[in-house]
Amino acid sequence: MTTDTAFWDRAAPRYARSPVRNTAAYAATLDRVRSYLTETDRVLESGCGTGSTALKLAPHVADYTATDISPGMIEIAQTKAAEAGVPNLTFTAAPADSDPFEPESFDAVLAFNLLHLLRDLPAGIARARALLKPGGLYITKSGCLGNMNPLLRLALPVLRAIGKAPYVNVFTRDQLEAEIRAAGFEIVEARAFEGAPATWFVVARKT
Amino acid sequence: MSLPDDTPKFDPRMLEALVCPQTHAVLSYDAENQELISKAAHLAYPIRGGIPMMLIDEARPLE
Repeated sequence: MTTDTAFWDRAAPRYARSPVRNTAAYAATLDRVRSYLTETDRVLESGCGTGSTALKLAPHVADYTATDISPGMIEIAQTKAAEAGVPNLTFTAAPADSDPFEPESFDAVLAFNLLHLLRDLPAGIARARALLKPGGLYITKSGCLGNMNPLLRLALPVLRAIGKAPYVNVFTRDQLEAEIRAAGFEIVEARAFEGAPATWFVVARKT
Repeated sequence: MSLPDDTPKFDPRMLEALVCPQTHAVLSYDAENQELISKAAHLAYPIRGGIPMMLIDEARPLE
């Protein structure tokens, strides 16, 4: 089992129980995402965790596929979706940077709090682009540790060594946007939400 | 292998979009064993509780 899968499987039960930390920023982000989606869209969410966001967004689109590297997270998500009765939402356990779907099959690919966890950021962005239809939207929200307190960055390797933190990729907002552009996207919107300055929301269109 | 009635079933329509994460080649569905077979990668990915587990570590190597 890869260390990433093992870490997130271990984290899954507690993760599912923990509330969203900044509810105002979360609600504002969801509203913004929803404004880009239409009811005929086929949507992929990569790194869906235990599916809370998927459950909220799926009723607004035609078809919603959600993936996560952790079978433990996905099994909890599936149970929640069955209880909520969301028929157009399906889950698949899949590698974070290699979602296993036909090319150009989605109108939008979503990745929330995922890109900073990828070991190969360019590969992850390139995969998302391949899965998007021409003109499709890549909507991401990422932790930009390059813009954060350097002390936290120093603490990360220590936390990781004792199994208390996942692999984290450090980049700045500018570096992230440059990576997305270089992969073949134009940036449509880039912003932070109030109360969550280290989280950068980017909407990009496949060119 | 028979499944309990309350087990969520894999929806074969998902196969239209799914590919092997290693080779990006098409998969075939083994309903009896609840596996998705990638001939190109010589791997069988399990379906558990109706969920495709498209991870190498979960897959069964084929001879």
